[in-house]
Amino acid sequence: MTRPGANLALGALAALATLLLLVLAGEAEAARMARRTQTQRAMRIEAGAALFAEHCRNCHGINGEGVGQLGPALNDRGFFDGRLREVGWPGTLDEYIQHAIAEGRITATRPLYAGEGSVAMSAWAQAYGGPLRPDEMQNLAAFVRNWEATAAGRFKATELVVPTPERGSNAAQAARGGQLFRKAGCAECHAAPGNGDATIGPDLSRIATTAKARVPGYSVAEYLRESFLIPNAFVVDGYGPNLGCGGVLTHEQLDDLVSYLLSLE
Amino acid sequence: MAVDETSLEAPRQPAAEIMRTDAGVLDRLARSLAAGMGLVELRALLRGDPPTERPSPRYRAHTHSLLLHLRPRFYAQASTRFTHTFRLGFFTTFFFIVEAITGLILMLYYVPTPEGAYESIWRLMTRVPFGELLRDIHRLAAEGMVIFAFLHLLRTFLTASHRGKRAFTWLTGVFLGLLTLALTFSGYLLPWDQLAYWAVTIGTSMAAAVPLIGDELNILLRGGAEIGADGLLRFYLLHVILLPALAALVLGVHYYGIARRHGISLPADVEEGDLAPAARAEATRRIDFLPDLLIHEAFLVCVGLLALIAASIFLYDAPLETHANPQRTPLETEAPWFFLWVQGLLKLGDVTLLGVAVPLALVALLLAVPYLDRSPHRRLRKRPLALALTTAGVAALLTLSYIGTPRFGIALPPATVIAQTLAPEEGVGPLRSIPFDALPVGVYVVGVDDPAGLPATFGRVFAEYGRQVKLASERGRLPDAQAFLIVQEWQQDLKRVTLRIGWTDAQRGSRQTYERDLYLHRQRAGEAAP
Repeated sequence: MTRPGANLALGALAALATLLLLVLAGEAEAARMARRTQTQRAMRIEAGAALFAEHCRNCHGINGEGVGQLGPALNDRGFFDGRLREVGWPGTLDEYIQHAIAEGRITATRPLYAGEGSVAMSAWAQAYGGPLRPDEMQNLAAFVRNWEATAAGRFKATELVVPTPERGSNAAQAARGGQLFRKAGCAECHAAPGNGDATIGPDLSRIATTAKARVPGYSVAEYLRESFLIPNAFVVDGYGPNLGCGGVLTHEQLDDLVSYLLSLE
Repeated sequence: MAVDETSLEAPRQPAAEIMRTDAGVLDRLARSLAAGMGLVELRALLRGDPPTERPSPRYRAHTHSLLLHLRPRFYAQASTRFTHTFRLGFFTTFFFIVEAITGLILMLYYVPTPEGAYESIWRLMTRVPFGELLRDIHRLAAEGMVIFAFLHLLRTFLTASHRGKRAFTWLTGVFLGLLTLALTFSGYLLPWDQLAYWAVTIGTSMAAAVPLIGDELNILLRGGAEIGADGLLRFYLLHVILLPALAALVLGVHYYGIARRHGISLPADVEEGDLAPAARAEATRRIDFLPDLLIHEAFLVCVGLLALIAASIFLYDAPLETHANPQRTPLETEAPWFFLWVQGLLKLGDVTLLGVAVPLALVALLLAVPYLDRSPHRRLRKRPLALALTTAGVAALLTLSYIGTPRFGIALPPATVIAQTLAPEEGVGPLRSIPFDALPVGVYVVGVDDPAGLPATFGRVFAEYGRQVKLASERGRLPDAQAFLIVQEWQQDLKRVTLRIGWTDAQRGSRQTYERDLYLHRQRAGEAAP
């Protein structure tokens, strides 16, 4: 306390050390900012992947491969190389994707996907009544653009057989599904053992067996689930499109119903 | 030829003489800039020599200069002892000034809107040289300010420096402590990430528990039913204008008492002890502000800056989680650490009683301390009650803080707890710490695949996963547990990791599944592309 000399010397030393630290940190700043930019992009892609799984995959496919006539592929060469020219978009692909998500499509730009008097893709921006914030649409755009390597054929994900989660196809669940089959109104169109013999829709009495050969590449459970989620995904020959139902099921109810149908062998 | 050699040399003049005579202009300039102290005096000042003129220009400087006028002319030697004050008040002020300076610079880049706030922090970190360092320093100094203010309060109480004419200074100190907490808490929301958003949502929800005006108070703070654009702007303006202005004012009042009214207290053993006359004379010897204290303070500032900057560069990263999402309540919300004790109180019972009444009563108690404390003694060994109460108070704070941690007493479903431990919603966790290339694609089943056969880091995490599932299963929380860890390639440089736990729900009599997907990008931790 009474030694200003020591204080002066040590203080000057500390100041010099601070200056040195700052100079060294300054030298590394460019690299650090580049690293942070990568981190930000990585976090955008990660968040975008989760958003895509939550909101987009029903129409554009789990891996962006597209779903039938519901939504076009987002992971192919046509999307990355031709899309902007096709629609005459003057900006970047990133802007195009964000814009498309935000505003949706009143009608499709390609005949294949034209909605029949309905909106082809709804607007997703909160500003237009959708659920997504601006940053979420940026994240989605970053994720979709990361399919570029896949589209160009530079990257191919390793195939992996992922076990389907057991949803408990036990008797209790199937019984609940059977009750629901009546209550939710399925029995008004479809025949099932003990649940009437309506003929408006296909007969489901032995659906667990007959569905095996319906669509190549689909397991029975997958076939059934998709039929619930997208009623006209597969229309059986001899029947018109499903116009009647449009109910709301919880995930558990869906599981129960699928479990019930799987028991009809 | 005899030459008088000495006549060739100029007559030797002392340096002081040169300055006094030859540098008249410089000297006048120095006097006008340095509150009346000339070159010779300044030189003596730096060397630690006694004053060169009478009356001492050093004392005169205190009346000529505004800034020096705010400072005392001298302290008693004993009250400047390091072990008496630990410079706690000094460093609290130091942190406050660091906050003001770094905060002003951060204001250049910050955008106080829900759409822009989070993005502007990323811009600061990715586009602004030293931007991240500034943010780290600002955050670290804020937490340092909370810690040092608390220790300063403890020190003042334990050395019994809060009584008599110091009582008013104690009161202003308590208000400064509250302002420090308010400043830190209001800044907590500004990054607009999940951590901030939900911590502040909980904090403001306590306002709703105030009797009669609770709901109005809550809406006044949040700017609506939930925190949105209005609430963010309110917290921002509180943080950058109202609270700092108040704090500066109260700090001035607080310091004025010390500088002008009663000084820093003498250590108790000097005031009450049985000191030899020589020792007492040394203890009460004057230490002048100029130069000793000023140089010491400059020294403390240099050391403080070095420590703060070094810690910010090497040890500390201000957290930034995912973007705030009012629609998604996190599984675990955590108050800022300095309010964990309040969160702990809230878990023990009624919000109005424990969340509002108890903290307010604590503040009232702190304000009343100088008037309740009637002990005639200052030395700690003669104040056993004060020591016991302080120890009990600190222990209670620590215990309540522990109770306040998110995991304590909150029963999440067992499968969720396991997923949350391995891959928390926010932050990193063991799974995300695995390097990208050490995540082998495949389906791994607990109890079937041997962790020892897997790559090291991945194997360790998988073993931990298995251990936790087994433990929960053995305790009957996850009957017939079956657990998977699935690693899939998803895109270039992107993998999806799925934790899936299945068990039999005894009540519903069916299999239940819990699943958490997380997507991991190669460059999240700044890893370079291959």
